[in-house]
Amino acid sequence: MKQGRPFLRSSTREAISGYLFALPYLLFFCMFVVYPVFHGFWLSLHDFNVIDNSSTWMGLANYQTALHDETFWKSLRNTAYFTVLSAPLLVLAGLLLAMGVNREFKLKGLFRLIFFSPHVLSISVVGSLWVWMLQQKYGIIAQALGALGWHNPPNFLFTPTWAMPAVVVTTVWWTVGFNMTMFLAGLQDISQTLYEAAAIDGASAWQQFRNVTLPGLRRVMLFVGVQQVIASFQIFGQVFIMTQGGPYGSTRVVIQYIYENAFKYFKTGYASAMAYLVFLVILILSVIQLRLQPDQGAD
Amino acid sequence: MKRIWISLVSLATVAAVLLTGCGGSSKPTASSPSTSAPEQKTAAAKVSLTYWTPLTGGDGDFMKAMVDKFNSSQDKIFVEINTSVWENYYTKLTTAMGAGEAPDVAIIHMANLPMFTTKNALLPLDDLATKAGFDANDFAAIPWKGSVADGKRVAIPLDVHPLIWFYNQDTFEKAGLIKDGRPQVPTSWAELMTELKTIKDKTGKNPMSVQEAGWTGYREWFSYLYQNGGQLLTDDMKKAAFNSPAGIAALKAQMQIVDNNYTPHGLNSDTLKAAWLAGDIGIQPNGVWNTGGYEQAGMKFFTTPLPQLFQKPAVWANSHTLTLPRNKASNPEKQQAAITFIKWISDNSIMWAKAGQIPARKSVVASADFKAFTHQPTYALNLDAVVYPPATPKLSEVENAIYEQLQGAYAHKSSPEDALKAAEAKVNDILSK
Amino acid sequence: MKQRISVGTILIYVALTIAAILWIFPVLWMYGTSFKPEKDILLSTALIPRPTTLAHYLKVLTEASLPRWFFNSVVTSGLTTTLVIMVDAMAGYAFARVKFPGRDLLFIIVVATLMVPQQVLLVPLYVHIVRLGWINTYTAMAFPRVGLALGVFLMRQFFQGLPRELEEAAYLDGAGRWTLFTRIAVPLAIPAFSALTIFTFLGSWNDFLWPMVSATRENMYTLTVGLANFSGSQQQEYGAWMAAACLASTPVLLVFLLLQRQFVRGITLTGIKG
Repeated sequence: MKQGRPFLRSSTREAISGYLFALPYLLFFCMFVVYPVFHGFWLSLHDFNVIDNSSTWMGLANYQTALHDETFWKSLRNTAYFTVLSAPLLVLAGLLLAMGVNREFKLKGLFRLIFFSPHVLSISVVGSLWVWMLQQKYGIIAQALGALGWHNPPNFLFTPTWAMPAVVVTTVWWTVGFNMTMFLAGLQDISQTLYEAAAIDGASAWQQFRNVTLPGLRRVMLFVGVQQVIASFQIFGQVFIMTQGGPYGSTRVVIQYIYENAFKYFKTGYASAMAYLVFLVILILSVIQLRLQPDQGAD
Repeated sequence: MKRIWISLVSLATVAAVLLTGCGGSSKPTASSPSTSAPEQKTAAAKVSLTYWTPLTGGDGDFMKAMVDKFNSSQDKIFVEINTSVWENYYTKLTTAMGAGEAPDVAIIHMANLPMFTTKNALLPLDDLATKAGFDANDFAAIPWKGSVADGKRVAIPLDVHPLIWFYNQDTFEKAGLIKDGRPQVPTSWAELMTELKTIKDKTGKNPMSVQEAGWTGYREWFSYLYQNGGQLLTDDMKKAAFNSPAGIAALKAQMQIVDNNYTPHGLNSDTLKAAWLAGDIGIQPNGVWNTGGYEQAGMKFFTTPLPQLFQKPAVWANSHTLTLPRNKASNPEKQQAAITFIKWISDNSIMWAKAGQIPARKSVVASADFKAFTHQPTYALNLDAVVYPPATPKLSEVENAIYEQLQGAYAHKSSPEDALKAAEAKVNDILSK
Repeated sequence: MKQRISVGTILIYVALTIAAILWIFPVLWMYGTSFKPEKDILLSTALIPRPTTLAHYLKVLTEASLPRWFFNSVVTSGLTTTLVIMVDAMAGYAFARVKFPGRDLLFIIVVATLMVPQQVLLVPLYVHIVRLGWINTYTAMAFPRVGLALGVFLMRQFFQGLPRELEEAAYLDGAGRWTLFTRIAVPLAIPAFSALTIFTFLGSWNDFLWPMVSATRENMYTLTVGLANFSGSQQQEYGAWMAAACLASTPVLLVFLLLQRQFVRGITLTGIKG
């Protein structure tokens, strides 16, 4: 009988087809996400060596060690330093660029393209490009500074005070396009009529910005802001390729330290424990984001 | 539509299954283009070997040339060489070992052997080596003895590569520090400082480099530490021993050069090479492996061993050794081929010497060919003064910890005393686990 | 009434232009250096090299296995993206439309993993893959990404947004669940698919950490990893670095130029919904 049956058909059939549909994904999910999450936790409770698969029970010792590890705390501080330097800069720059580009003029598309294009380059391209540009004597930045009167600038990437700022500059160049795109979408969601109404009321550009743009962007700004903080916290590629955490550990961010412990010193258990501690921090940040996010409407 | 979906899914599944078997399997694939090795895929008699090295410095090309010559000199064994950046090399090697996919032959620095021998990752070579005809007496004593773990031989040393001094010929001539065609070598620290001042005053160049953002700074400090009668770790390798008057004296000596601005600051390997090749540095302490590369760049320079500037003669050194890692694909035939290859490399290590290395084979060092080199004979002397880093499996972590603190001192972020104290604390922490 | 362009607007355009020049300059510099003769690289600051040379490109093409790495990137990213599209679409649809016990709880668990940073998974995945002996296989390089939750989340949000009437009508005509999915839902989801495709492909193509860790043999490196390894091994060979970087970037930039709109839409969709 194929006619006139209710939409909600046999629930068993529904259930089976639901599971079947979800099954392929769930297989990947279990094998490559769920299992590693638990396995990682298991690793963090052991001392595991990759070469001969030997493991020794450590209990919570790895966590205790991490909490007493001066280098671990320093790497957290470095990560925080990077975040404090880069996140506000990236959000602000993204917003400013979006506002600048969000006008109807002929070259709008070109400008958008230019600011976004670094984002499609891989980290190895970006890393080698900026290492070359930052080269102490022959790099274009040193040459430009020389033209401006600052001769013999420091070897930026290899001087403790300057290394992190150099990484920040590289990161801003590389990723600001993403924030700009988010803000552009947000700006376009703000109804034109609001601006027209404000203009009719005699509001200046600044007042329009304060009373129409900013409130309209609130949701996007929160999203971008928290995303940026979470992303900054996980920075790794730039540091690994450009400075390897040096000099004097000034750019060793926490993910770099985890990588070193796992892949350079082969302390996979210890690295896992630190990864879980970092996970905790990011979890807290993500929950804050969810809390701050206004409701997206009923699902 | 349904059919398309099904076919896509099946296609992807089939592809995935095929590709799981594909990719780099343990069989060496001929698809990695090595520019010069001839592709001789002849009959089954040919044994294929994979050979991994961390030689991406100036000496890498010389090793490639040796492998090419070996391959073309006979048709029973084909060796495929694979070179990685030193920083990633041990990660790759360890990963491969864990997966049972280690190469047939691997270069491992002698100081890093413990990391692998404590995990039983290397094949013992005693029988193979004896049958292949290695003569223990023909090898430099320290590395030959040092490639043994638990009484079993695990590696064949290829070379000894200490730190030496490179002298820029033009700068030294201009400073008037050349006597009988050789540079004036200081015999004490005070003499060195005088020489450096002379160079600065007469030529305006940087008299001497201290590599603040690279390993040479650490290796130099290491040498001076031992020259002052100190040592890196206690004899049982359980605690740090370098935070001592000797260690502090060594660091303070380097700081004299840094503080006088006799060296460019923040030099990493890239900028050190650039500065040296541009003639901006008078004396450059660095490893022997740079010699060949500098010669190829057409530089005019002198070399001498690291001079004794303090109480005892001592100089940092390490060795490349050739090992047979354990792996799934290993079998007696491959092992035999591997040791044959290693023997050939060792016998022909005069080719390796071209890179600037000092072969571990005494007969090669004593040969007329070696003596005919311009620079190598000037520093292949007094190998008794070489000091190897202590043989602890945690060496990498220990040295990185010290290296980092030294960087802090060089950058004036901490005093020499504080830097060594911090390093000592960290090292003790590492060794206690 | 035609307004005069205000001073403020001019200033904004000027600032924007300066920013654009600063932004595009590094990329231009990258291409410029790649064609510059070795000596001029160190001595000349001209953007456009005169004379030009192909020596660096030749060096890269003969010394680095760029074609092979490119192939590896294509296979890995292609495999990941194909699987993601198929698998996430089906799962997203199930979560959105099909009632099965435990569905909501399962979805919450899936979404919860959005907050798990990649690094937490890195070490256990690595250990796991090593133990399985899957190092140096496309499977190991491509499959882990397919387990990520973002695509499923996206697809589910999208399918939920589709009006039910079309499906209901088809159902009354006797269509089974699979037909509903393939004939109705999927065709409507093309915009979401293209966004997800681009986002996944780009993410996989530029991925660095996992491909580096899961491939030890040079002939299995992806472009991103091979490039980093190549640059690291060539001290002070700036021309070669830049030539390699250009070779790696040009395909991506070209695709980006052609598919700009989809790129932007992909980023926006995944961002806003995320």
